[in-house]
Amino acid sequence: MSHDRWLDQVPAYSLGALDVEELAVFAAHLEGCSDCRRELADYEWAVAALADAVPRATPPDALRARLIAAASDRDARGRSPETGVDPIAIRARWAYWLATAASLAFAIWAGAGYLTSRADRVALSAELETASTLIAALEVEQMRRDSLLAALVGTRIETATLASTGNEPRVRLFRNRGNNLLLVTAFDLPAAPAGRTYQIWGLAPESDPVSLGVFNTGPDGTAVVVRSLAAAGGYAQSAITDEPAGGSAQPTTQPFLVGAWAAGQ
Amino acid sequence: MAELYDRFASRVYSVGLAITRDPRDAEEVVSDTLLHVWESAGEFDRRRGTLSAWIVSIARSRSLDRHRKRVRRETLQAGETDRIAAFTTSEPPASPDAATGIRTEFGVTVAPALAAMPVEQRRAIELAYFGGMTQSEISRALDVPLGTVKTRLRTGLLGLRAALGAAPEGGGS
Repeated sequence: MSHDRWLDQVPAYSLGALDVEELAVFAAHLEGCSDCRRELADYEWAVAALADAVPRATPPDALRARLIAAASDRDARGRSPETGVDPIAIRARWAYWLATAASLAFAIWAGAGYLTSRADRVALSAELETASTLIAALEVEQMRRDSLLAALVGTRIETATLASTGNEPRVRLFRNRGNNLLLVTAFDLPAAPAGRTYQIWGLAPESDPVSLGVFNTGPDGTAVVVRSLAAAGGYAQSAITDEPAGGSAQPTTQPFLVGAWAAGQ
Repeated sequence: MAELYDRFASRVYSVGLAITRDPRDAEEVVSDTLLHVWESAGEFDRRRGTLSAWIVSIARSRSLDRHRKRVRRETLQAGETDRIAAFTTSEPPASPDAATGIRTEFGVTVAPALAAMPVEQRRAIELAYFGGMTQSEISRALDVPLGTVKTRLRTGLLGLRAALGAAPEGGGS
């Protein structure tokens, strides 16, 4: 077979339009053919641009909050149900990409004055786009870590240790009255089943329970999460119940963990 | 996640909407895609393209999966003719670029390049990219020989590549 015949299949491959039989044969050829891989990279650039040919639409505003909450919930679980990947490993990968992209971005910037061809400018644009996206992702992670510190650093810290009658599970709450952040640490607490979540309540005499947020643990039974509190009121006790995913307006099950709040040192 | 969402949600949603034609499905595409991206940074290979191209390819794949499921459900209600009509236009794309100034990541508007393409080439590319059809399916759908479809896809993409490459950076309307 003339090699041109392989090259002729690259456009259809880049569009995902090869039939099953052709796809298997061509994919095997592609593995060992650098010419076809180069050609493919050139077409993939044009195929990717097709996404910009459709009318730009904006998703509903509520989707943003839902998605951020879903990502946070998966972080709290400690392991993605979809990929089975530990979020700490995910963060490490993003950090790796940032380090790579940042050094690359500097190298590109330093050499930019020497790049004059269109192809170089296209490559430069793509690399910088990648670098800036990854930097943004790491900034998000930094903000998450900052929020952990913000919940713990201050002069007006209250703590509550919630325990059942036995030694397990154990949940400790840290509330920063200065910024109304709540840090939740849980150990030996089995993850809530699918469609359920754990909900934290603030309890005060002669008042209805106030939701302080929801969380879940990972497969290892641990969770370290920060929740922002809407209400500034004080609570004598806190409790945790098992609720439907998303939480409830008021507890629908009996608390299985209860503890009193105490001012910190 | 907030940063990822702000940068890519609109593009992913637009692709999802164009393929699934259903706002609820498009929302699910955004969720599926961005959560996958958030948790799968290790799968991204910079040597194979930009981050946005990677994300869009995931979005397209998830959109086509949802669309195929819907088509299977609705096969009895909608004929093949309707399926073809859903993904092809006799007119050039609705000029979103000209109206909004949306550009590709390379600073070149795509709509003018597609508009300049012969309509039969554009239809073949639209059916492959937005309809998820293979060459054989396009051949049957348009009732043209398989060889003709291959030629249209190849010639169309070559033209698109040349048009995008030839446009001045930052140019276009």
